[in-house]
Amino acid sequence: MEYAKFLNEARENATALPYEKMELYKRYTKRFAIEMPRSDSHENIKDAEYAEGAVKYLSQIMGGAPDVILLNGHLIGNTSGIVDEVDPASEASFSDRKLYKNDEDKFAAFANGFSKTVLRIRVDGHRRVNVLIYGGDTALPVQVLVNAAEGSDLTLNEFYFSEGTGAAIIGVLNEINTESNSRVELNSIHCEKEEANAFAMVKGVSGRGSSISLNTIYAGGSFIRQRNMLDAQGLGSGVEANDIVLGVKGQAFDIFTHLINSNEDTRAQSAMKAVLMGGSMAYMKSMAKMKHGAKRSKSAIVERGLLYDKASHIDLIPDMSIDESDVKAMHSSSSSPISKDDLFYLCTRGITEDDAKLSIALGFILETVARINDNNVKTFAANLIRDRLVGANFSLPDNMNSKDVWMTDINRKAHEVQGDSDDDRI
Amino acid sequence: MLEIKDLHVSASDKMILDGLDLVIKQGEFHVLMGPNGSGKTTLAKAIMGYPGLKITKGDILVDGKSILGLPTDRIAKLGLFLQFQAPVEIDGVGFVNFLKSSLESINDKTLNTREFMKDVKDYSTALKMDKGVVGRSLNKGFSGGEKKKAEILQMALINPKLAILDEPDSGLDIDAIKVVAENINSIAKKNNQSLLVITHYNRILSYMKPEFVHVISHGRIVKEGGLELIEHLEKMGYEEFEKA
Repeated sequence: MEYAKFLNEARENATALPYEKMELYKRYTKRFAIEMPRSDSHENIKDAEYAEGAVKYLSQIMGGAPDVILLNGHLIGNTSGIVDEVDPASEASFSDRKLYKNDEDKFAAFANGFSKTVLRIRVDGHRRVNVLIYGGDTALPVQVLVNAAEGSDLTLNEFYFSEGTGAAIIGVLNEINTESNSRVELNSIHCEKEEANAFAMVKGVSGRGSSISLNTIYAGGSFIRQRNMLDAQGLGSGVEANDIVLGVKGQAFDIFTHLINSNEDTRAQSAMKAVLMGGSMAYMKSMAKMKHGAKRSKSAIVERGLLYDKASHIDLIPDMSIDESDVKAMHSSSSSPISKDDLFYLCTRGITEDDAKLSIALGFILETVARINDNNVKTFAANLIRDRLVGANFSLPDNMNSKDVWMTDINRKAHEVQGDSDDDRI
Repeated sequence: MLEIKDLHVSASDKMILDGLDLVIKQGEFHVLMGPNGSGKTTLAKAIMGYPGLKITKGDILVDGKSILGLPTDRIAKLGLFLQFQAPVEIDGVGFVNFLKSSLESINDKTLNTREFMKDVKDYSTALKMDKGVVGRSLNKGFSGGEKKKAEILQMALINPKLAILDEPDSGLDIDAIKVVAENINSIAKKNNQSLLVITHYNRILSYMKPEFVHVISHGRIVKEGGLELIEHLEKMGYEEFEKA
């Protein structure tokens, strides 16, 4: 397919496709509808100031400034050395995309059609890249294309922030391709403001003996929609998705993970955990496909929900399709309110009911957070979850929302590395 | 220490305790025996303020003050401890972290971690607990015996004024019963604790020396005595009291 034709089709699809046909979306449609970008004002000074605070905040957490900074769908900082930006309107952008060429999903079509930024990450060796994805008053999606060379090891941390602007919309499309014996860990931490909406997709294919691990923490935003499709394609490869949802105040989450065992001796695992309160709702589905010929492969789906109150709602849907007999597969799904007996037990040990609830919910979630390999991210995620559970509204510390020129300095250095100019930057 | 007056308790509109009276003074060792469904566990839970129970009449006093309506954690802070017959398993809540939180909450101070861990090690060794148990989630995957020992470990660390032990012998083999009984004796004696042991059988009591024995039937105390009452129950069973 020619690129121009592809782009046109993507844009038409994004405009014409019904967003979702499922009944579930009747609940969500009032909250959000994908629409054309509302503006292209990445020079919004207010957003830039808040994003600057996020940069400082992340610098403290991660022990250094983010390697890549995205603001309103635009790349404004890049010191990584392994990330380069491709013009979405170029043939190169089209040829680099291996997995998103069909537009069966409206968000994929939307991202393909309207991205201003396509990031390419090519890693060989051992690397960690921290990405700040800051959403403001535009709806411009970003695409991140990862290619892990043979024997490489990449930890890609994506931090979703929004602050200040009303209903921010953040869209990110990740594509991960791993060559043999490589490892990619993608950790996505959603800590947007309560009004924000986020859409994200991950499609990943693991090569021979390689592994892809997704760890996503949903601790912010008003509505978050996530689509994961992970294919254990290479012999002896593995894919894993851990989705951890924390709904505090009427948030809605729509999470779907699709796992595929395509080859022999492959491993696929999806773990979904949700703690919901304050009228939050979550729809979480895992679908595992074990293809014919995927002998001696394993697939597992575990879904768990914990409800703090009657106003919250959860749908957990495990689904498996197995076309090979020589495999091991399991799925389980359960949701319940916090057990009164559990609470009573902890309270008889002098722990207050609020603290007992917190302990139970934290224990429930942190078991899965522990699977994150990156220690900084693991600690940040644990603290974020604790803060949310005790009712703290997530926002940057006051002293981080400074208005100095620090971020501009970062950008300048980044652009010097890239040989870029500051003309169209903040 | 503990005074229960004419206690009436119901659950789901069914009367379970029907005018129960009991007095336990500091350092005394009481045993409550009775057939299944007589209200033993309900009494223990009612004392600790279990939310599923409704106290329709009577009072429970600790050191002369009513504890009715107090939240469970406050009752625990007054020095009451309940060893559960079937302790719950809670995923992800580390046993040691839970112990430390509990002690810090009850004592309202931050513990020295090194001293705390030494105490945990000493008591768990005395109870002949598997070393791996303390590193797991709360009661998760513990055997019946390990659960009971974990409860007694908590009793030792929390050091309550009154420990209510609900069937501390169930699920234990003969050797473990002896170990648990000896530890309960030693902990209670060392700290001058009051004990209320709830049990069906006299197995564990052969390693302990209770001073007061109460028989409960149909939600009220129907017979009181000393060690001779245990021997009588061993021979005759509860039948005569159930008819009463």
